[in-house]
Amino acid sequence: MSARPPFPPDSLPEDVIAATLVAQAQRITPRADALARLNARLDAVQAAPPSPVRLLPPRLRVHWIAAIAAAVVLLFLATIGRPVAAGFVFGVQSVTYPVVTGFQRAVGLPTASPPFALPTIPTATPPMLETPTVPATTPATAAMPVTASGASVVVSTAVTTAPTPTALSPLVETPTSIAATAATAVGTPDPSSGTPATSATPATPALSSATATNGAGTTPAGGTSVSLIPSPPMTSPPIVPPPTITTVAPPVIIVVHPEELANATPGSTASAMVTVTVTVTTTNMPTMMSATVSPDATRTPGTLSVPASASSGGTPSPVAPLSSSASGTDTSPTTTVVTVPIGQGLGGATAMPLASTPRPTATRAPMPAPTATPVPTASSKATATGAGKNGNGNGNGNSGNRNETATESPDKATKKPK
Amino acid sequence: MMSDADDLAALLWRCKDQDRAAFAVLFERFHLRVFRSAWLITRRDDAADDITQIVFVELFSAFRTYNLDRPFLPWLYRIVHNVSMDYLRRDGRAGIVLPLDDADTLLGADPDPSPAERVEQAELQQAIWGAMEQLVPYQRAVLVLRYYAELNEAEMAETLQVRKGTVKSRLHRAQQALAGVIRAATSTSILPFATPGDAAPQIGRDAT
Repeated sequence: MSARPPFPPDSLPEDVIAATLVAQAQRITPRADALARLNARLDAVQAAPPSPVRLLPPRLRVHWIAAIAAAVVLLFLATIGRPVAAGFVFGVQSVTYPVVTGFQRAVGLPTASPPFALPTIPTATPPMLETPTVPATTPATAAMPVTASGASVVVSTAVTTAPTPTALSPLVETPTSIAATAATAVGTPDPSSGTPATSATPATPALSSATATNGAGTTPAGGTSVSLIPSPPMTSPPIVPPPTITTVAPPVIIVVHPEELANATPGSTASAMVTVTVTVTTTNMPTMMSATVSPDATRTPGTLSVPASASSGGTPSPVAPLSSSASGTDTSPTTTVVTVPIGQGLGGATAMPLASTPRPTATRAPMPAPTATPVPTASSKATATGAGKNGNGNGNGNSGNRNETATESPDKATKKPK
Repeated sequence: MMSDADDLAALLWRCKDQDRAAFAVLFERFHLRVFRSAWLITRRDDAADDITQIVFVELFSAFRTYNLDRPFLPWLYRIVHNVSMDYLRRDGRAGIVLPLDDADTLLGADPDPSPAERVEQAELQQAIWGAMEQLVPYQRAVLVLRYYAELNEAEMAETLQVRKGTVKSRLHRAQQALAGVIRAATSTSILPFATPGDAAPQIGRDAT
């Protein structure tokens, strides 16, 4: 069939186009499981975490990304990029400036000043020095012996210049001394007499004169003097001596009453709570300095020795001090245990227990400033209180030496001076 | 009694709230139209099927930002158009042109044509359908939006995100290109049917 479309070639009827498309579209149908597949896809999409960027509208995404990019650029320029950007600008200007100025000069236009700053070198003005004056000194007129005919006498006169500059620029040469050459006096013998002159009187003493000029050629080598202005002396910070810490621990006396020891069994122990008051005094303590008084970690129990002559009512002396420690806020009680051996009862003797001797140690913070003002003293007290306990024992009070063991519980404390 | 517009508005409200059941109803209502539009543009069954799935997935996500005051159909066809163009850009294989072997399936402009008119109309439709294959995709899309989706120029402008003048220009150029293909085919007495695998020359690339 050779049918030809009967329509004009430059126009197509719209209804025919629409009918064609509708007729073609009606010939096809989608798959039956389209909805099921769509639900599967939607499940997968909803299971995935949404991107924060995708939550934004598309137009806002562009603005958001642009804002982040601008912030990054600004941050770069504000920090590490600033010298880079400045160097880039300088480099570009360094390249373009000669080209531009060359072109301007070629066409006769006035050239602008360099857009970039040229380094400036400060020039110091040398100090104006007064021209040294040469004092008129009388040349020496001493008669100089003439040793030979035609001999010349050279009189040298030292010339000093004044004023002497106190501070000179190293580039300025100032003669400090000028050697003046005196005139030459020549005595001439009389040849007609045939007798050589035995002496000659020098002619008029040479008048020497010299003019000192800065930088003149007459400046002897090494004549430049340079004086340095001494800088003010450096004041060293005052040396603050380390703080001195003095501790005072009073003796502690434990009194064992005879009636309490009367029923004491051998080997029993008696303990007493000892009140120890420790005074810690620090001197030369700077205000900016913090001192920590820390006691020893442990206390070594001391031993009380009762002399053989101790008798009832006697007062034994402590022979071994307890090693202890204390601090400013130590209020813990200290327990002293007195051991009473068999057959060596104190018999009512009064025992003097050992006194705790705290040994605080001070640690000092680093020196903060050289102008620290020392604070004279700082003091504290530590008080330990406790009640004594009676021990059971059996003994008479006429025995000799008695060993008593005192134990103290360690304590710790920390003190900071005000 | 609710009208179709009210019913659609309520359905869109629910879809905006990410209601999957409402979205399924919306899919059943519009997926055939989407599928056939994609098929008319791409001329491929598998492509139309993929495009339909992608369109509705994107539609579901886009409902979050959808303004219910705006007309729905131009917005839907805009997604169809964009997805179809992207699909063809990625996979630009030639479509299959189904021959019009049954004149009874063709719809004529005249509801009661004579047998001779029916034959003429069938031949014309065959010529148009064959000529559309040689148009570039965006020209086919313009014709589909105008004559199959039956969007007016304002709705097409909304769909294509261009001005109405641009819509008129594109539509005119597409018609001119279609007529040119048919004219060239009739001058050689060869209907412009393309066969699978043919690399038919495409015209009308200079359309704005």
